[in-house]
Amino acid sequence: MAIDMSQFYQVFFEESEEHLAAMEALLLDLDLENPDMEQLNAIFRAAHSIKGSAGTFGFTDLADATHILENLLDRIRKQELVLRADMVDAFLESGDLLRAMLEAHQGRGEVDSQAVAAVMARLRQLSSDEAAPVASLSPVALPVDVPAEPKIPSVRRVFDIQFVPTELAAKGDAVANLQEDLRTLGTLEVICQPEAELHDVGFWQLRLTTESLESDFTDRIDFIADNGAWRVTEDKAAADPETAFGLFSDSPGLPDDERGYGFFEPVAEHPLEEIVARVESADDSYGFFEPLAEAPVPAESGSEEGEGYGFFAPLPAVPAPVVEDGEGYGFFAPLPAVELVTDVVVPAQPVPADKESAVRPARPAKNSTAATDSSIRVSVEKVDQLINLVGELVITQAMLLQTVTQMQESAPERLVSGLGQLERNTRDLQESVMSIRMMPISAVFSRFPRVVRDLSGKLGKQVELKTSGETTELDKGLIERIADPLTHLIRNSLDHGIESPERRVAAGKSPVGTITLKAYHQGGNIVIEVGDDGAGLPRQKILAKARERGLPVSDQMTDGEVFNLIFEAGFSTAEQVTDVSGRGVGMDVVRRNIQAMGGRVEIESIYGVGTRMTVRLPLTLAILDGMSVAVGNQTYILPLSYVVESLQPQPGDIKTLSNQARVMQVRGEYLPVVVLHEVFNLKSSWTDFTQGIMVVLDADGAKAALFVDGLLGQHQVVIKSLEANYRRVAGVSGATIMGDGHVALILDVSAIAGMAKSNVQKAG
Amino acid sequence: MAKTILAVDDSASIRQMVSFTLKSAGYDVIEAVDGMDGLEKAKAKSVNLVLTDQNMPRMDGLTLIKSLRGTPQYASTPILMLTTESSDAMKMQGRAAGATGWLVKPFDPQKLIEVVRKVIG
Repeated sequence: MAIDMSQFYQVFFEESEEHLAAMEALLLDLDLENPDMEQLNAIFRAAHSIKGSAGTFGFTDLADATHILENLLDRIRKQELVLRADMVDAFLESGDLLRAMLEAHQGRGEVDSQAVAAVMARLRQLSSDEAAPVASLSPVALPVDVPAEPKIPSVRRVFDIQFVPTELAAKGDAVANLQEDLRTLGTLEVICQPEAELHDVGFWQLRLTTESLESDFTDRIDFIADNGAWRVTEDKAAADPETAFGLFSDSPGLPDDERGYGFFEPVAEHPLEEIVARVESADDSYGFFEPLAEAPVPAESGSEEGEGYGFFAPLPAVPAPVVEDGEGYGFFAPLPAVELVTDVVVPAQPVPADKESAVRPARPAKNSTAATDSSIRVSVEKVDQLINLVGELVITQAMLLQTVTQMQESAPERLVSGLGQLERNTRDLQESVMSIRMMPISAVFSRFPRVVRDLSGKLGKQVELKTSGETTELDKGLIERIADPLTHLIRNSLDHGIESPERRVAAGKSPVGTITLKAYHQGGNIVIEVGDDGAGLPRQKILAKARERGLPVSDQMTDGEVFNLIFEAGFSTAEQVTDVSGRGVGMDVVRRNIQAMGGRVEIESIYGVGTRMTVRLPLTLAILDGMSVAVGNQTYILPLSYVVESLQPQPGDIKTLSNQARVMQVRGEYLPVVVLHEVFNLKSSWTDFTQGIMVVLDADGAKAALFVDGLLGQHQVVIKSLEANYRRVAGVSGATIMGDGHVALILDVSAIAGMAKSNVQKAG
Repeated sequence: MAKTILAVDDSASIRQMVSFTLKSAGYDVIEAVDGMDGLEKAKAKSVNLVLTDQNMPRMDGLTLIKSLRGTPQYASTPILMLTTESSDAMKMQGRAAGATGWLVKPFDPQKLIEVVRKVIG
């Protein structure tokens, strides 16, 4: 039965990502002075789990890399090595590297093999006690000899090495030297070599049994091979055949020996070691099977049936234990005429009190990642399908309710109350289905300690990151999309906000700056604040810069308006362009991304005291609180978050500019007017402005007055993509199905406000 | 009636692989995410074989084996420990805890079935 392992890859990838994230969080949280054993154990376990799974699913590069990491972590955990800051750095770097490898396996990006070699060399260097801290990574794999660590259980591997040396190498001693080199790593067999008269030029095949890793010797082979004509494959089945599995000879649960229980049937093609049962002296009732010889023996002398195991002959006099409930015993029904062999239960031997191997049950780590007891993984598609179905249900329910309402008095009372019940049920159902897609924002926040740590080091600043509200939940889709803008805001705070320690001290502040990251719910929104106690925004400098760039600014502008200028394309307030928040991505992109999510970003700042950026997002992209408006015989939906007020224009409120663009005076402000029936080319019920309604909209500071026939009401609507079902339409962000089954378009307020503004500017 | 195997491992992907492999071979499988969970599940329903990983949060494999051997229900049920360490020290501990045998990680599905067949048929 062949099992396709690739079906398990996705789970493996997700799981490894989780382990890496947990490892990083734990590492950043470690107190170097007094490392917490629990945390060290948890870090070790994360590396250990990745290694185990990677090996199982055949990702050898990952397994090899984590193997070194795990050994080092194991020694720290056992307190053989003292944890140092440079180790934490190396661990964090290894984590990045493993992440890159994982991504490469998922077809995203490439892995820089130089970097891999460098990080591995660094880890090996760290694992030798006297290692001097490595200041920087040299992209050269240092041939560091790792001292043999008998305490570390190592894995014996068998590699098949095939190569064709260059003529130059073959004529010299290169091939012989290579063989000598490899022999230092383990046992080397020459399986196949060129004919003698070819002077070593030709095909070579070697077999190396070693505890080293592939990466320890491949570069030497590559060096002498002709144009990359080399291949190293790990022969897993041949490795450690004698210990691939085994049964303790006299432990509970053994099958009886009439089952033809033979040990280690020779696996096709692989030489097996002769296994001999070594029965220890009677007083010491251990019966390990130990290989006699280290060297593999040819396959033909495979172990014979009945010789490859050794039970302690059970004493015939031992009565069979009474089977109480027929289950829970590992007996096999005795075959007729076969004497039942009972398990000889050996009282557990006290394990020598050895500090090394003392088994301590692990208590749950503080933020254990393995708390999967009560959760299941469900694909996002399934959840989305569920959300869609519930959306349909809500629509159907609304339709029924509307029908009944139209029947007025003639509707049976029980029908009316039943529908009221149904409305509550569908709302609850919708809410709980929506909550399935909700994730705590800690999924994003967790990456920032690392960002701040790395960046503040790079900039020579001292920064403390404080987070609160990590458990605040929002939609998974938003979580994924908010990560980049937030990262950028934090980088911006670090780069432009927080001053250097010297400057801070000069300004009478603590040398250590603080960045606060906060999340909380407010109404139907989630609010995320990125604050810093840095220099604040320099109003005059921003104005000067804006003038330089030819933006229309004046000294009368409010602070808010001035600060918003930094969201204009290509605006940077750093005195020198750094590679940190510059990076070709400006705050304009941040704002655009946040707006694309239906969100807003605001800035507050006091010069010399600090800056706070506030991001507001809807909780989900699937539902919208909307106001429905009527134009002619059509209904449109305005996202409620953009609606400021509605009013009936008085005669004289509306003025027409030279080019037919109209403005309306609202509380001393002139707002551009957008006439919705003109935009969509509809027949309006009104020709006179004073008969309809003006809805004042505010899209990130761009205000407009939208003229509609009337207001219909407020609803929560399920957003359907117009693009997916029809095509993109200017001024429309999506569609929804109303209770009466009609489709209503959801207006793209930012675009509409933009239209109005450009009309008026042309007129200006 | 199909024999039931309890697979205890904190790695979801390994659990999935073990479970799938054993189910394909005609066994019933109960999964547990760590030693504690494994112990609870083993007590709730008798199983014919326990496969357990060693390194796990909350309760490791050795402790689970000891705890199971301490209950009459599991005094002689085959228990195999999966371990990445093929060192003798680990085996001795496993044996002392009462394990029936060991299986070194990484293993391939075929090897797993082979071992399980040997132990419970």
